[in-house]
This record gives sequence, C-alpha cells and structure tokens, in this order.
Amino acid sequence: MWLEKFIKRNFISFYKEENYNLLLETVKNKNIINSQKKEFENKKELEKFVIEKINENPQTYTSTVLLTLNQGVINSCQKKDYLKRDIDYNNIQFICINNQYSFYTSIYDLNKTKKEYKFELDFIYSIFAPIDFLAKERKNRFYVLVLKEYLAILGYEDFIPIFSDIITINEKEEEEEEEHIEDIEEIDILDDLTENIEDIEDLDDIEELEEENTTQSSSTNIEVSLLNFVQASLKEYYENYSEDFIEKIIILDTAEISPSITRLLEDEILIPAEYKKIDLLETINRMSVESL
Amino acid sequence: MRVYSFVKPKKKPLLKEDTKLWLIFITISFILYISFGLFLEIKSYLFKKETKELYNQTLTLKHKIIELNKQKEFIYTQKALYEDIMIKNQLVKQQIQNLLDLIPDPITLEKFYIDHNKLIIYGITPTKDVYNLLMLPPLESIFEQTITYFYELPNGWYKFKSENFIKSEDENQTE
Repeated sequence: MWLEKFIKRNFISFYKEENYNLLLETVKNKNIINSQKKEFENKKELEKFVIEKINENPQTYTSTVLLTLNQGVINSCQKKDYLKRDIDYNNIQFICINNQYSFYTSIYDLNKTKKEYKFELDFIYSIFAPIDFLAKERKNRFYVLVLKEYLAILGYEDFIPIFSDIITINEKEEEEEEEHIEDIEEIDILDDLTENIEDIEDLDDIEELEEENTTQSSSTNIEVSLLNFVQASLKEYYENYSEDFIEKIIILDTAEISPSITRLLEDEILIPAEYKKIDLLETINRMSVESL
Repeated sequence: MRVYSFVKPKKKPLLKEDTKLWLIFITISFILYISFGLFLEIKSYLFKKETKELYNQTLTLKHKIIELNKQKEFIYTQKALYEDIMIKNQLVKQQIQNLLDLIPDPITLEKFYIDHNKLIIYGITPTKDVYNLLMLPPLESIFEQTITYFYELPNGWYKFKSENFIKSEDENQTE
C-alpha cells in the first residue's frame, strides 16, 4: 500500500545470552532513521520495554533467533530427505528457502519460544538463517557465527548449505553437548578436541593473544572452543556430508574475539580464514525488514 | 526475497486505536464543516436566485403598475367622457322636452334638427298668425336670431321651417 512508505515501523530484535541484548530500529520506507541498543538483565525489563514500544507504535515487529540445539539445515525441502537423516518430521517445523534447502527446528522449542514472552513474536529465525542471509561466498565455505555463549557453523558445498551445527560454550552447556555427541557415538572426536586444546595452549600465538585481550579468559575460551568446534565439524563434514574440500572458513564475530583467530585457524587447520565483525541484531532486523 | 522466519507476522494496524478514533472524529468534523459550508453556499445561491427573481418580479410589477395607471387614466378619461355625454344627453333630453312643451296644440311638428348652436324646426300650422302668436315669441326669447319660412299647402295650411340661432361661446369671445 502506498501509505506504508510514509509509516514509521519499529523493528525490535533480541536474543538472550548472559543478558538480553536488544536492538530497536525505526524504519521508514526501508531506511533506518533511528536505532537504539539496550541490554536487560531480566526478562521482565525486556517485556516492559517491548510492550511499551508496541503500545507507542502498533507497527512494531519483534524478532528473535532460536539458540536451541535442536535445529539445523538440510539440502532439501522433501519429507523423505528428512527421514533419511533420521529427523522426526512430525515434531519439527521447517522453512524452505528457494525450494532448495530448508532450516528446521523442533516444534517444542518453537512453541516454547513463542510462549516465553508476554508480547507476540513476529519473526522467529533459526540461528543459521542470519548466517545464510550474510553468506556472499557459497562455494565450499564454512561460516562460523561466534556468540558469547554459542558457536554456530554452516557449511556450503555448492552454493547450498548442507551442514550445520551449534554448540554452547560455557561448561554446563558443554557437558550437555558432550552428552549429545555421545548420543551420536562420536566420542573419538571429543578425544581429539581435548588433545587439540593441550596443543594450542603451548602455542606462542595464543599467548600473545592472551596478553593483548582485556577479557583474557573468556576470549581464549571462545577461541579454543571455536578451533575445536571447527575441527570437529570439518571431520564430520568430510565423513558424512561431502567429499569436496572446504576452501575457506569465514568467522562472523559478535563476541569481539581477536581477529588473529584467522592465523590460528590457518596454522592449525591449514584452511584460509577470514574474520568479519557483524552485528547479529542488525542482521536479524534487516531480515525482518526484507521479509515484509 | 527470502523469508527465513518460522512464523509469519500478523497484519498490524497502521494506526493506534486512539489515533484511529481521533482521525475518525477529525474526519467527521471535516465532513460536517464541508457539509455546513456547502449548505451555506447552496443557501446563499438560493437567496441570490430568489433575490434576482424578486427583483425581476418587482420590475414586472412596476411595469404592470405603469400599465394599470395608464389603464386607470384611460378609464378616468372614459368615465369623464361618459359623464359628459350623460350630462349632455340629459341636457338634450331636457331641451327636447322643453321644445316639445313649446309646440302649441294647433301646430303639428314634423321634424326638428338640433345642432350645437342652432335649432331647425319643420312643421304645419293652420295659419301664419297662430304660429306668430303662439310659437314665435318663446323661440325669440330663447334664440338670438329666428328666421321662419312658410309654404302654403293646398288645404290652406302652411308648412314652415324655423331656423333659430344662438351665438356660440367662441363667437361671443371673438366679439
């Protein structure tokens, strides 16, 4: 409708890590005219702020990403392909992209997220969706999205994402992840990871990084987890998904890790790496704006 | 355009409920203002039209009054003329009555002619003396000039023609 060009819309994107991170952007005719970043310690404050904004402007769209482990991507939109990968088709919801590939998540997680807040969520994305939205190079690439508490990886074979994985970084979640790995009988990968961590601790590069970084322990923890995660993912990718070599790893950073992580990756995995700093909330809002 | 969201956003109203109410009130007020303006405009137009019609009617009535005045004048003139004629007729009637009273019994009146200032009488008299004695004196007392012509009939009676004149007012003035 022509009138929509003159209407101001609010796009609120948020996700929860340690705190609730929120970005409010006011958009008019697809141009951002105002933006505001907020961080809330608890859900009540977040809900109060969002409801206030919805009451101020009924044209307010809320978006979030799922940070659950039961989600992923497959290179098909067909039921039979889901069944082939032992995914319970009846308990998932998926969104098909270009009739080529699809992102899926558990219906339980989706409904839980829908009911979690006092306001209605207009867009709920898979954590892999922003990666796919940002992915320009799509030929044998690995994209790794780095959050403070999560790492998500999306692997492209021939312009189509065929592999995905998500892990939590903190110890508690790691334990769960380990249990998850045990479930799929990949204990040997875990052993490799442990060995790799020991190797990395001896490296001079890592020591230099530690000195430079102000948030030393957490940053290092992320970087170590990242390296292990990429190695494990590559192993699984070559074993179960594709025989083509990954030509480049692109790090999409939201957690302010050191850009020198690329050197570490190149030295350890021998694959060229690229570092890109991104704003996940901005990306989510852009996706929502584009969807309307 | 790629849509990534697992859920679709519901259609959202463009305006807040109270803004909608305000807009409805403003729209209604605006419509009322326009309607009232239009009403005044139409009323004004009708008044102007009525004024013009009334002005035209006034002009027509003025013309009619002039016409009626003319007719009135004409009627008054006709009335005066009628009254004049009536009076004259009364006078003539009186004069004829007087004339007939003048005719003595022995004399027979055959015809008479009355004009503005003259009276011509034709009749038969047994003798000239009867005429001169009974009829001439009253005529001479009335008229200023009296001329009588006699014509003898075979039976010895006389036909006569008496021309009697009075001076008109115009003639009096010239004298």
